[in-house]
Amino acid sequence: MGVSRKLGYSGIAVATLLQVCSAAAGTIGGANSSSAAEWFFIAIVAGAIAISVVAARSAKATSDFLVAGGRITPLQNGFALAGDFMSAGAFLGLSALIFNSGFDGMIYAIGYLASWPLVIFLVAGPLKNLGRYTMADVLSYRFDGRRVRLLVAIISLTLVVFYLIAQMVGAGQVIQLMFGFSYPTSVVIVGVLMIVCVMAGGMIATTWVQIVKAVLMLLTGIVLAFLTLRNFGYDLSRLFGAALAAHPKASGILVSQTLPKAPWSGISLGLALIFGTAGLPHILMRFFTVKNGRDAIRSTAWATALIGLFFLLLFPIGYGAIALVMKDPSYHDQSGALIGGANTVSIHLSHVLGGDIGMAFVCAVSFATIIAVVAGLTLAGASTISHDLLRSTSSDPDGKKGLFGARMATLVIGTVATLLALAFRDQNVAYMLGLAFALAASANFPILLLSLYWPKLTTAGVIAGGCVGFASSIVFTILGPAIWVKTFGFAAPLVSLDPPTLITMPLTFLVCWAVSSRDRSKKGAEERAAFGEQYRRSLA
Amino acid sequence: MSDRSWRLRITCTAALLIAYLGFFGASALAPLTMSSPLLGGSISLEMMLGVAVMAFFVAITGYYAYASEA
Repeated sequence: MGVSRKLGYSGIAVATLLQVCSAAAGTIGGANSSSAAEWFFIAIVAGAIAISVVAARSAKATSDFLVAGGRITPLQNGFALAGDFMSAGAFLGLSALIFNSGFDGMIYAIGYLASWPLVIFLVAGPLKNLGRYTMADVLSYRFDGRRVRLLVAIISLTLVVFYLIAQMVGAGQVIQLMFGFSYPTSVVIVGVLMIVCVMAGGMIATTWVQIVKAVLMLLTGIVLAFLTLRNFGYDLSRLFGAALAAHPKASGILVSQTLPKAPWSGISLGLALIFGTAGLPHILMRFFTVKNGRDAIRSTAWATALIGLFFLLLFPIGYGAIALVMKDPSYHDQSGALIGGANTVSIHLSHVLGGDIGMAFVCAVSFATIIAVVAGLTLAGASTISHDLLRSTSSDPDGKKGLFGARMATLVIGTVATLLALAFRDQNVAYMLGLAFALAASANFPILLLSLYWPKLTTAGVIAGGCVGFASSIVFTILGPAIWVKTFGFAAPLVSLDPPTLITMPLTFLVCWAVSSRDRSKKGAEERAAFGEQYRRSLA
Repeated sequence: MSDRSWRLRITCTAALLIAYLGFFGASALAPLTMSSPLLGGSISLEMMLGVAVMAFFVAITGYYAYASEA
């Protein structure tokens, strides 16, 4: 039996296990939400471990471990991309944003979705045609491999660590709330499961965890949206009318509240969202898991359709939550605040619509979402360490020694992320996700785009532009509202843009252009001459 | 360079950015221009525009995948 088929059966087994658990929970005297949640939680953990064990048998070389040997089909990769991208922040966070502000949630959703057409138009195909494991492979095609690999590794690792901390801290808080574990226990559970899953099964296991998660998340969205609409007689005007009546901002939730007040920050955020995805290492890495550039394009088309569908479903869910949860006192504490905070509004809605079992299922899907995203991030970090930083030091980078190195890199990244998540327990980490997107849009994306399409770019331009994009993103974020005011407690930020992408991304392009244009070296001339061959190969 | 491939990329990227900026501009200006409520006053024109833009993004991505293989 092929590994792919075995893994397919494992995925089906996880879904079946969830159904069995659902039935079991329903029959356990009264089926309260905590016992159902425990069943679902066990099912998710068992499913992830089963997938990893099956996948471990086929991870025999570095390419199997890091990119599943390029054997993932476009449909599978489309689901995995969607599973990798739709984090708990997208599900719980966007629902919460719609619940609090209404239309502003749509601005985020459209920004996230707009990034996917851009990925397919500009990056997906050429990336696969030119690279093997990481984005640095593409840059090394005609530039000084040692220097650009080091630069991209620093940017990517910083980005992955920030992204992982934000996800892990959020995971700790959400799991603590959902399943009643303490914060340290929650973080350690996520960390250990993430390390076991990725170390054992590498990209094959990560892909199937992401596929199962994407299917569960889409099913959850479809069922919640359907039940919400059924509650209002399938009449959208009744649903939105009830939301308007329940929300203190009334008709204010039908238009943007923040854009007219801070248009420049809005534009800056839009730039980070639509260009950031094309620079996220864990997303770019997925294009190496398919056979060729054509399959990379096909898989992006699938991912866009799935992500678009999910974001559309968030609107009936978000406005349904306003209509059904906002005025219900049983979901609010004595001070009038929503129990568990706004990020749990989808979970409360699932309780309104599906009772204890419905709520337990949504908690479990949120947990699966967290595991899938952190696994993808960990693998991207491991790939950067083992391939971009340590490959030249290994005598057998594509064989068993390389595989061992990649597994050890996974252990290091996973352990560091878990320890940092424990250390950042009581810190405001919301800015870290913004910083990760700012870094991706301001450092990774410009140098990748110019290397693919601008013949005159040279190594000097890549290094200077990448360094400026990296440093300016971090410095301007520190001086901005998210850290300078909210973390350090100053009255006003030194840079009002949040995130600073409107300044930092054009700055990177400008520095790349200025330094490359003034590069008169022989090496620079050779790199320019190599562009034609690179471009032809990128279209192959 | 392949002219056809280049044209396809540029056209689709330009269409994407125009659609996004159009939605963005409409959203930023909505409170100034007084949004036009639909469906009995419960949905704004900007929301309908947002849904249309999302559908457009999915459609143009599908079109690119199809056209790049042709």
